Amino acid sequence: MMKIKQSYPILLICLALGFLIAGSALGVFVQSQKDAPQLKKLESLLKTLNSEVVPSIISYGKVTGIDGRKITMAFNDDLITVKIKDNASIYNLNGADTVDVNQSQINLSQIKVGDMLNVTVTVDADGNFEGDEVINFSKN
Amino acid sequence: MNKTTLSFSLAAIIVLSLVVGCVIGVVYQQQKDSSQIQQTATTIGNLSSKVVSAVVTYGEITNIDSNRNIILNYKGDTMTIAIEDGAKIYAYENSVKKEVQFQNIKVGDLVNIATTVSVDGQFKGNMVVIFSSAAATAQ
Repeated sequence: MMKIKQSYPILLICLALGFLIAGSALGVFVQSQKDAPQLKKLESLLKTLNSEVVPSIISYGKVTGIDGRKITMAFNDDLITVKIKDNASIYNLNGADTVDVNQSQINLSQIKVGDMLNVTVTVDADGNFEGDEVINFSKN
Repeated sequence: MNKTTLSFSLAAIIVLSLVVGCVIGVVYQQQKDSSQIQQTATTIGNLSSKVVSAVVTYGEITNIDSNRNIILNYKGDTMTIAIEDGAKIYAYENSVKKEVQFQNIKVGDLVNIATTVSVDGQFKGNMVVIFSSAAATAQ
């Protein structure tokens, strides 16, 4: 009897730990169920955007910032940031307001803040935008 | 310690441990999921922004329902697009593009649909171009 009484604190600690672990598992389960629809939505959206059914996503806007290969574009107060791929084709559209339209290939470094761009993008596995083709409409 | 006090203490420890454990579990999972949930919001926000002028889609129509939802299939990939009421619909007849009605779209048609993404992540079709009409092919 004396031995049992002495082991009470240990038993209580074990019991508390056991229920703490059970509670944690319950909490993880409840929260993951709650978050599942949101996570599924991203998964489904990315799957669709990277599928064969979506050949291209077209973005258009004014360059408001350039950070390395990341270009931030704005149009009607909305902003997006696109990372231009290393092998992206970048063109300058000359004479867009005339009949004699022609385009010439340029480097990323020739794009400046204030330029109007049309960027064909894809969405990577994390949901980030990557630029495949850039057309600069601004007169350089 | 009498029996009642012991039972009460035991019950209190069990409940407290469960509650604390539950809170720890919820916070842990929230932290784990938060970056992905944030990414979902950012991606949908970017796609539904005015900077993204169109998400171009292409495929064969496999289903059209009464709510103007079209299911497109291309090389085994599928997606559902809700065609907006005011969407422009065009078809090619003898290489001439002409405007047609929504009812002219049939299962089996090869189409190009310009879509936008709504704030809840749904694809909304605002322009449909029918390249190959299933009805014309059948004739």
